[in-house]
Amino acid sequence: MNKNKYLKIVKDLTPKEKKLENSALAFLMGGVLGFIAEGIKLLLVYNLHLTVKDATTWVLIIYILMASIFTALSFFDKLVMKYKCGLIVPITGFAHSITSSALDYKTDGLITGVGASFFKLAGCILLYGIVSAFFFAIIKVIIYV
Amino acid sequence: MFNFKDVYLTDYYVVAGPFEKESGVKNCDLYLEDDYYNEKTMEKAEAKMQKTILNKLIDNKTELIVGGDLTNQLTAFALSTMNINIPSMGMYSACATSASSLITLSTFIQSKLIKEGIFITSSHNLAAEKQFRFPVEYGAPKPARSSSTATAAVGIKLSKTPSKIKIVSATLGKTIDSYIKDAHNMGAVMALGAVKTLIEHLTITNTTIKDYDLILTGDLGKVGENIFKETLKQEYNLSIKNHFDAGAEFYKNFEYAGASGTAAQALMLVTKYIHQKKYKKILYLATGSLHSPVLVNQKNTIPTVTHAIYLEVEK
Amino acid sequence: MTLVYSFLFCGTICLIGQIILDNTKLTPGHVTTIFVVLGAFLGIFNIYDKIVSIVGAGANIPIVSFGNLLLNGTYTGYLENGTLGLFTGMLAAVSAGVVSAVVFAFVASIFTKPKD
Repeated sequence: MNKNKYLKIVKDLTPKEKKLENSALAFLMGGVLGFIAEGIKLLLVYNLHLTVKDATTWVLIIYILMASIFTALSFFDKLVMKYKCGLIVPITGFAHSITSSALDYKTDGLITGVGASFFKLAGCILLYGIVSAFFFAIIKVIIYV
Repeated sequence: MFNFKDVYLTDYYVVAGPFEKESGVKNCDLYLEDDYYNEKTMEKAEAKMQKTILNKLIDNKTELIVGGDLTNQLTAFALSTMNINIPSMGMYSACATSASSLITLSTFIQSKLIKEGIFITSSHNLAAEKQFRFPVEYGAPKPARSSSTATAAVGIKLSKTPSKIKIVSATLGKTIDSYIKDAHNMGAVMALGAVKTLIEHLTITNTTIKDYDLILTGDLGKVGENIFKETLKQEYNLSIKNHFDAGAEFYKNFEYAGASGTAAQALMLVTKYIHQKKYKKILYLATGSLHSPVLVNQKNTIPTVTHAIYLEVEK
Repeated sequence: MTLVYSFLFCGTICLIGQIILDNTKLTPGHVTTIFVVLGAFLGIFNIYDKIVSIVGAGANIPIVSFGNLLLNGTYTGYLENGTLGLFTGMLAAVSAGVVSAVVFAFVASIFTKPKD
């Protein structure tokens, strides 16, 4: 059968994603996480007298801890499927990808399983983050120094 | 042309997972309480499902086991057939494995090379997700057109001893290009193969759609079955009313397209359709999407194949 | 007020990510990678630090911030240590995030197994 004809049938009959709903949920969850993060930070700065830098770091650690625990408890994946980028874009996405890989490959051994596949999903972020930061920093040095 | 005179389906055994039980999949011989079946890993659980079935079906007349599953290098099949002291041959056509295995067994029986053989297959949701897509607990967003691999295992015994279910003919499919690169849209990948093999079978056997009480496709899902019917209508001017897709029927109230996996279609055939009085002439079209993570990552279009078997059931 | 800005900013970044996900063939992996690189890029002109000072923690949690931290660490490393600093400063800046993610994930995996 003609390729373009078949692809047209496929396109017409494949359900479209609910883009508006996805966008709204992502925005909402992202917003709530941002709000809570700032809230915790302010509490730490004004009540426990931490510096802004330390407080921010603690907020990140708390978010990562929560994401790891919820992933291990088996319900975070359902939340991610619903709120999508609302949970993937914040640091919770990073923690979730590492924890879920670790869980899956545990059965294949500590070295050959968990060790080998630990950064399976998060590897991109580290690789391209490090490479781009390195070269952009050189550019910044050239511009400012 | 593959014509059979002395091949009969004489026994079967079905194991299904807890989610399948919750979703209304009926009449299975055994339902697991959880996905691990008292094993440490999901792959071992899948092998155990097959082993349970083989223990139930094997008798002193069984001469050959043919089957396959979705695990890498057919690990589950290898583990389940280990030490059973019967020749076994693993076979892979993705979700068309049931048909290719049954056709192979039928041919050996018809050629009088064996008198009795068993087909075994399984799929396991957790093992398949881990292997083909993402870690099980990773919440990667799934589009509405996705299907979900069923946790189920099926064994079918074929023999030259007459029974009410007769294997009559078969058509082995040709692997074709589905033009689809999207591994989430399995239905679109397989629909084209299903159309091609259906037309080939009708042509070779000189029959029409009306000669069958039921045309049962494997796991096209809700999206794929629409594409299948529309393609038949637009390309061959065929309107098909006596059609069900096992994958689409499998899970009720499922928000995605349906079930997939090597066992879903065979399960529906033996637990449901052969027992319903109105279906005496069943054309079983097993649809397979021959993709692998490597193939998809290298941006290939996904090849697909469908194998067909025609059964007659005495009611 | 930073509470409101944090809500709006983090929500918007997630929204942009979702729009990319829904309208292109890119995967979540692509989106997060693009955002990290973007964060590093915005650090060249100190833009992201400025955003953080106005918005608050809502700008610290998206993965964009991770890229910015990597860049800041590298640049500060140069200022303090010369060329060697380009290599020594980077991961120190994101140490908290990486260490906690690795440790918590590993510990969590000891006690549970995948279900579904």
